Amino acid sequence: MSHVTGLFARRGFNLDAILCVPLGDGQASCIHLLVPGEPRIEQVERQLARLYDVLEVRRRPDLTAADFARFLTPAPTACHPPGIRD
Amino acid sequence: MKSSGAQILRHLLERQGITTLAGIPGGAILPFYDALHDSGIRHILARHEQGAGFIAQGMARATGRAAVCVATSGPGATNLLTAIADARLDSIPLVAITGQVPCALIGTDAFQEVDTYGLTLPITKHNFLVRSAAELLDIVPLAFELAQSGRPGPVAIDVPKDVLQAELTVARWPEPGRPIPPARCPDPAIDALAQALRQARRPVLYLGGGVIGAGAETWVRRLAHQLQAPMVSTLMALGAVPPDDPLHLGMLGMHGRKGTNLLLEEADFLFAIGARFDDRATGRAVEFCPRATIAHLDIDPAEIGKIKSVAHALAGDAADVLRRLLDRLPVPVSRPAWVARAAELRAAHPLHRPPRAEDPLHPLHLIAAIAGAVPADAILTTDVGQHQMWVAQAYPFRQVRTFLTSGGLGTMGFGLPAAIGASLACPGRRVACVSGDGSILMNLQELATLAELDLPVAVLVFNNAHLGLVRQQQELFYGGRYAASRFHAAPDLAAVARAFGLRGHRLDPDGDPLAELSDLLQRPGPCLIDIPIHDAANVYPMVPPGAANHRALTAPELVAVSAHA
Repeated sequence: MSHVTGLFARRGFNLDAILCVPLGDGQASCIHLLVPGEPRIEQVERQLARLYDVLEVRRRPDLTAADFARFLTPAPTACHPPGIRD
Repeated sequence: MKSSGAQILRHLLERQGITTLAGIPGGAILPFYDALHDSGIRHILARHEQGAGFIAQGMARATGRAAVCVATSGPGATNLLTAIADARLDSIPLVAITGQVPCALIGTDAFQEVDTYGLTLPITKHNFLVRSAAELLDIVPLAFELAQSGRPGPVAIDVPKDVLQAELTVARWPEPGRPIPPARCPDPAIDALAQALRQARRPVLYLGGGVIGAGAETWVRRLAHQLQAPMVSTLMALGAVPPDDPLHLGMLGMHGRKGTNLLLEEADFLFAIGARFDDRATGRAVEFCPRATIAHLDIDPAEIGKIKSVAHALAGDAADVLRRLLDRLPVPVSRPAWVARAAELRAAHPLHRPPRAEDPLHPLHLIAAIAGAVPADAILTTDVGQHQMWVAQAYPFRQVRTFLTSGGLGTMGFGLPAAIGASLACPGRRVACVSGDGSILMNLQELATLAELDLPVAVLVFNNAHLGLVRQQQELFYGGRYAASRFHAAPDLAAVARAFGLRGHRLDPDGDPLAELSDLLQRPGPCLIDIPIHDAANVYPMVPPGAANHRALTAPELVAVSAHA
């Protein structure tokens, strides 16, 4: 997690929101990053992909800022959002 | 039989083939030093952890294999940081091992506690905080694998003291970590590049440190001659191609020769090989190679397209890709007009220097004298500043890994400990550290290490009583307002060297200083030679920082003498 967020800070990439979900037994996580209007999106992907801890990088055009925002509302559904898990 | 974490760590290093490491002991790392006590591993006791880091770097840069430095927790770890960051920027395989306070004390602001994991995170290829002795069995081989695979780089391993002391029975030792071969570059990309190179009218090969990292120097030269394409080199590529290769135009960029930068203005095709379009090489990036289609071959896919968009992207090992590229270019290409143009630009823009009789202590004369006095396989290290650029411009490097310099981070204080490391790694070879009077003071304490080891390292200090490159920029770009760039109290460096137990000399400007220099370099063993140079001597050409490369400033008042005359 710190490797991923640190990368955005030191490379000066835009990052608006982060969602991190542990997978299975917690040995791996799925991190969703909201990267709006970042002109260097391919660079972002390549820099992420070369981190040793990063297993795979995928774009999710099906998700929007609203999907991230739903986590901040205290609705009961917030714990199990559909469409977030890969 | 049970082993302690420290003994496991030592044995894993032995299995990696580590025979020499550099470091400084302290509380948290003491169990490891206890395990080293009866080991065959030779420990080089540096006098500052940054020195230890650069000694390890000198070993790694001279051999291409990962080297190890060791420090204790807290200040030991923070003192290593500069050497680790330096290794990151120049893609040097380094494994840095630090002690940490015991696990139970982590987070309590314990004595000599610092968040080494957090501090090393942005300056390493990867970093580890070891949580148990058993984890060492996975982490240590993995650290060597990561440091040496793909694009090399530093890896940090932070080991709490109680992990070093924990006892464990090791049933099976892991295989040593080895470099993993990179993914093979697909054929179609190479086919397309071969066609584009054949069709280009004015191609240039732009060589970076990756050429040396990949051991691709032979393939690069073959390609250049097959294509009749001139080559330009970054600071980190010097040594890959000899300076007298007719197709080699030397270093490009901020202190490159004017003809080299002008050639790039005219190129219609630029093939970057293991180079990363660093700002000191490209100048203002949008104006770099304005007429050229760009192809980029790099082992790190993230470098491709980072600064310039490219028409041909090739991720892979440079030696492998160039070999396959040459298979597709069986017929030599003839480009007489373009080669003649390159030769014309090279001849029209030599380096400028005063006649030798008038100013024998001009740095370019000194560098020629050094080159004449040491064997062709001598290793040169530099510090950072004017002396570094003069060496890069004028020293005739003919072999890879004979020029060790801090390129990306630009660390003053690199040269002396790196020279010690290079000498340890390459016994029998002459090593010279060209330094400045500003830089040498930044890791001066390693003269004690040098005296103790009695290695054949000559330290040559170009002494102008200034931070010369700062002074030069203040002269050229800050209206001659020399803020904090002059040393009003200069130490007697020859006497300092003698106080450390080394031969110390100061060249006599009124005698025959070049003959004296040559004579001193013939003598065996370590020494320091203090060389007074003119404080107004500037490095030319110089592209103003942030400007396009064609805007280089030159020194019209000096007489032109060919750099290789």
